Amino acid sequence: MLDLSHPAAPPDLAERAMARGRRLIRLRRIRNAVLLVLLLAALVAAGVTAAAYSHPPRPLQVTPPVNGV
Amino acid sequence: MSGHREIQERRRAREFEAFTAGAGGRLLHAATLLTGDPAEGERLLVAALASTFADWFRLHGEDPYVRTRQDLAERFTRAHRRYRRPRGGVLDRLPPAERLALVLRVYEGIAEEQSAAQLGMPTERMRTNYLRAVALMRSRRP
Repeated sequence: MLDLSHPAAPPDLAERAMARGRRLIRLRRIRNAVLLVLLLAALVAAGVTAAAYSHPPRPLQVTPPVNGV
Repeated sequence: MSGHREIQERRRAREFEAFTAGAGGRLLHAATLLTGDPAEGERLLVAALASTFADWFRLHGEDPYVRTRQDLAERFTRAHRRYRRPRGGVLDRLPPAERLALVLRVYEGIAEEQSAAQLGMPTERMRTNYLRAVALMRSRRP
């Protein structure tokens, strides 16, 4: 029932599959590059934020007045 | 660096072309049995082959034929609705799931446990689909 002879594969089958496969590879590379850039940007942002908030509060520049005694 | 990549790409193309020349006819037959329509089968196969081509260096010893057939079955399962309407072919009278079960078991000779596991469905369901397919093929002669 299923043992029919194979239909002849079109001669350009591999060519079409390769064209589509190359597009797939290209899109994958672009996606990976974008993800990498996003990751680096996130790391830089995290670093900057950490640096900005990690300083201890500055000491007061003025001496508080001493009253009484 | 780019020279190395070029050599790799040439090797990929050469090996893939040899593979397609050898296995293309058989895979196209399987795809056409599934879809019922030769043009539609070819479309499905080109998509599956493209994915195999893209992953050619990441097969890690896996047989590209097995990989392509697996991809074909998955694509067909995902697009079930598209193939619900009969489109001609020998298995015209079967619903898509039954057609898939029959093609994988009879034409490709894969054990039910294996094909079920690969498609992420219970073996029991695969067997039921296959038995229903056989019953349907026997019941109504065109």
